[in-house]
Amino acid sequence: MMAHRDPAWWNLRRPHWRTSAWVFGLLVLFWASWVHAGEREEALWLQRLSFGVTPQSLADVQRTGREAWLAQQWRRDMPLASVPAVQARIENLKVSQLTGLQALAQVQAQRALLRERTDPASAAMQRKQRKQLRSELDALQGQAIQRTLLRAVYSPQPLREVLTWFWFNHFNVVAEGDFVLQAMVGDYEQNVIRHHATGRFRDLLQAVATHPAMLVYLNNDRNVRGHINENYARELMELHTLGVDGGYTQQDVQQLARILTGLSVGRPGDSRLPDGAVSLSGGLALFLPRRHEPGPKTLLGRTLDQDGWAQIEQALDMLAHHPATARYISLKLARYFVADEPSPDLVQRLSRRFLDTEGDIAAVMQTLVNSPEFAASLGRKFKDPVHYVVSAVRLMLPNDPVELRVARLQGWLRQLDEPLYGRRTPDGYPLVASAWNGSGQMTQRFEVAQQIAKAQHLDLPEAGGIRLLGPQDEFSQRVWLPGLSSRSREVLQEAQAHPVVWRRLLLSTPEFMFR
Amino acid sequence: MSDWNRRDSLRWLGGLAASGWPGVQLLAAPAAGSQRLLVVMLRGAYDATNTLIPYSSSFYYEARPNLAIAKPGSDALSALELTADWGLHPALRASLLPLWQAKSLAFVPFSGLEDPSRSHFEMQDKIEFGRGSRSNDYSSGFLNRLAAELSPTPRALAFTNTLPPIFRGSVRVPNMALERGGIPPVSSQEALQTEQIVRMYQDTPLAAPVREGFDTRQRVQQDLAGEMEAASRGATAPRGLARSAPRIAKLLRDSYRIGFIDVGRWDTHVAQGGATGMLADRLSELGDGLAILARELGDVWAHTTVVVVSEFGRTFRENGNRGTDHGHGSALWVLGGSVRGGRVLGEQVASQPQTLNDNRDWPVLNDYRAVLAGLFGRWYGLSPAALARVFPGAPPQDVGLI
Repeated sequence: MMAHRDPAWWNLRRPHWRTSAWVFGLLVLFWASWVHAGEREEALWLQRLSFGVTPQSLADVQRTGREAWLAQQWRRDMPLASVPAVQARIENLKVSQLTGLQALAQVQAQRALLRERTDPASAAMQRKQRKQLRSELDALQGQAIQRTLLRAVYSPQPLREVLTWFWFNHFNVVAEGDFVLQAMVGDYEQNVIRHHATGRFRDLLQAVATHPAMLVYLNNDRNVRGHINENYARELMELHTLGVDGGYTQQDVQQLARILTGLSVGRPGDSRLPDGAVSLSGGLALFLPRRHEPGPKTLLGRTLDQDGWAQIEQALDMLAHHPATARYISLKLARYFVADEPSPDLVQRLSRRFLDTEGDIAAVMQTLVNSPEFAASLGRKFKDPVHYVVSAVRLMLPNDPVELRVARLQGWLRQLDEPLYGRRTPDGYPLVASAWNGSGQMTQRFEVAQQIAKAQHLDLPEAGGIRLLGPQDEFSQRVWLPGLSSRSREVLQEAQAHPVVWRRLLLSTPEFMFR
Repeated sequence: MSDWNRRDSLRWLGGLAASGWPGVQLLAAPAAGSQRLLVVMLRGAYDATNTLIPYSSSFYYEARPNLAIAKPGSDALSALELTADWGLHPALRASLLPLWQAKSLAFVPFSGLEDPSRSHFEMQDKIEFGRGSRSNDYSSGFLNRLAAELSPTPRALAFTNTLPPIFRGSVRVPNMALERGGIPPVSSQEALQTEQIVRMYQDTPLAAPVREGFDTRQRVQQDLAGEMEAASRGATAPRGLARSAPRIAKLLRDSYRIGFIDVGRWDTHVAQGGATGMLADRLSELGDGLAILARELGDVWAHTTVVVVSEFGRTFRENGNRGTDHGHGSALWVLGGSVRGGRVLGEQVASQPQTLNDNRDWPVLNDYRAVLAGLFGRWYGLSPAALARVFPGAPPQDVGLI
C-alpha cells in the first residue's frame, strides 16, 4: 500500500475555506496533470525519435515546438555534438582526420607491402608488420564505433543519429573480416550513411554502391565478366531496394550481376588508371570497362540500352524509383518508427509520399511522424538493445554536460547481441520485438541495467563529484515516476534509500523497455 | 553385441508397426520423456556437395576444378570413403568418421525445402517455421509445435542469445547462450532485486519471459556448477560448437529434452578452399563439437538424436572466385545412439548436368519436413495427426533413420 500524503489544506477547519480549498486544489491538480500529461507525451514523442530523453532534449523540444525540432533534424550545418569537449574529442580522433581516400590508400599500400614475396630472413619482420597493421586497423574500427556512440549520446540532431543507425542497418556491412572493411567502416558510416540519412534515397543508394565497404563486403570487387559473382546483385534487390517479394526472379539476379560487372574498389595510390576507367565517389570506387560485360541487358522486363557505367546508373535509377522499393522502404521505416506490424494504410501513404517526392527521406519521415498511427503508437514499441543501452546511458547522465568514455557501451551491446558494425549477415539486425524480448535477452538486460546504474561502469571522469540520476531529482519526479505503473512505482519506492539499486530497477521497469 | 540385438528387435517391432498392429508403434520409440533432440542449424548454407562428396561422378571433378576433393585414397587430403558413391570431407576424419563407423551417423542428401528462393534469410525462416514454402504463417516454429504434441511437455532450451523462429509458439521456450564465462551464483541482494523485477512485470505481456529468464539462469547455474575445469581436459581452447558442446551435453543429460543451436559463417562465395581452407576449418570445428557432444552424453547418447540442417545448398559448379553461390538441395545429417547410421538415405540421383536443378544445383528430392516427420514419428511414436500438426501438408516419409 502506498502511504497517503496529506497536503496542508486538507486539515483546514472552516467549511467555506475547505470548499474553496477543494476547488482550488482540484484546479491545481487538473492543471498540473494536464501540463504533466502534455510533457509526458512530449517525452514519449522524443523517446521514439531520439536515442532517449534527457532534461536538455526535452527542454529543447518544448522551447522550439515539434515542427521546428523536426526541421532542425534535416539541417546539415549543425555541430557534431552538443558538448564542446565531446566535439573536440570527435574531431581529434584519427578516424575523423583521415579522409576515406587516405584510409583506402594506406591500407592498400600496406597490404601490397605484406603481399610482396620476401626472403625467409625477413619473414619475422613481415609478421611484425602484419601485427602492427592489424592493431592499427583495430584502432580505426574502434574509433569509428566510439564516434558513433558519442554522437548517439550527445548529438544536437538526435533523429539524424537514429536514422543513421537505421540506414546503416539497412545497408549493413560488418567491420571484421577484411582489412578494407575495418579501415573504411568509419568513412562509410560518416560520409555515406550519415551524410545521406535524411536526403534522397537514390543518392544514398549510389553512395553505398560506390563505397569500398559495400563492394568488398558483398564481393562486387570480384564480380568480373566471365567470373560472375551474384552476391551484391541479389542483396541489392532483396535487401536494399525491392524486398524479397518485390517481383524479381533468379533471372533478374543474374542479369543485375552482369550489369554490375566492372564496378570495383578504387586504387588511390595508382596514377595510371586503365583507359576508359570511371572514377567514382572521389576515387573510392572505380568502374573498369575491361571487366564489364558489354551489351544491353534486360532487368525486370526492361532493356537497359546504355552501356558501361551508364548502364549501372540506369539500373540504380530503376531500382531506386520502383514502386516495390517505395513500399519496402516505407514498410521498414514504419516497422522501426511505428509498429512491428504497421497498418497497410500507413505503409501505402508513406510509399505514395516516397514516389511523389522521388524518395525524399525527410519528406517520408515528416508524413510518418505526423500520422495518427505514429501518435497512437507512442510508448508501445519495444526497444532494441542499441536503443535500450543508449537511452539508459542518456537518462543516467547528469544535467551538467560531462564527457563520457564510451568503450563500455559497445561491450554491453555485444552482451545483448547487437554490437555496432557487428552483424555478420547483410540483412541487418531485426527490427521487431520478438527478436529481442526472449527470456535470455530480458535477463541480460537486467544485468546490463545493473552495470549502467553504477557511475564507475560508465567510465565517467572521477573529478567534479559527478552524480547520476537519483530518486529525488526533479526530472525523475516530474517526468519519469508519474509515467510508471503503480507496481513499478511501489518497487522504486522500496529502493529509494539505495540510489544504485533504484537506478537499476528504474532501468528494469517494463516502461523503460519501450519507446 | 547386445546393442545390435536391441536395434534389430526395434526394427522388427517397427516392421510390425508398419504392418498395422495397433499399439506397437509406441514400442518403437524409447520410453516417453527420455528422448533428447538437438537441432543444429548451419546458417549461411554450407556447401553440402563438398561435405558429402559424390566422388563417383566425373562431372563433380569437371565442375569444381579448384574445389573438388580427391577420390578416396591413401592421401590424407582425399575424401573418406563412405559408400561406393559417397565420400566424407577429410576434415571430419577424427570427429565424424568414427561415428559413421559406429553406425551413429546417417546422411540424407538432396534434401531441403522445395522453394525457388535462394535468399538466406527467407529460407532460414521457412526452414525454422516448417510450414512449407507458400505459408505466410510465422506464428510458430516446428520445434515448438513438436514440443506441444509431446506428453509430458518436454523442457526445451535454445542455446542462443535470442529466441530463434524455430522455437516461437505456444510452448514457452527460454533461450540462453552458453559460450560466455561462468554464471555466478545469486546473492541475497540479487534475489531481492529479482523478486522486485518479477513483481514489476506481473500482469504485463513480458511477465512470462522475465520469470522464465531468471528460472533458467538459476537452473543452468545449478547444473553447470563446477563443470568448467572437468570439460576442458587440458585441450587447446576449442572454438565454435566445440566450446559449448560439453555444457549442452550436461544440460541435455540433466534438465532439458529439446535443444537448438545455430552455427554461422557458411556462406563461402570466395576462396572456400578444398581439402583444407575455410570450409575445411568450419567443418572441422563443427565435427569436433558433435563428437564432443556424443562423448559427453555417455549413456544418454543412446537416447539422443541430433539433426544438422541448413537453409539450402550451393551451386554444383564453383564460381569465378573459387567459391560457390547460393544453390538449392542440401544434405541433412542425423546422429545419435539410436540412429541406424552408416548409411546415406533417401531419394538420390547421380550428380550429372542433366540431373541438376536449373542446370545449377542439387535438386530437392527429399522434403526435409517429410523426412523429419518420419523421424519424429519413429522417435516419439507420434500419430499421423500429430505429425500433420508439426509439419502441415508434409506426409511423413520414413527413410529408415531410426
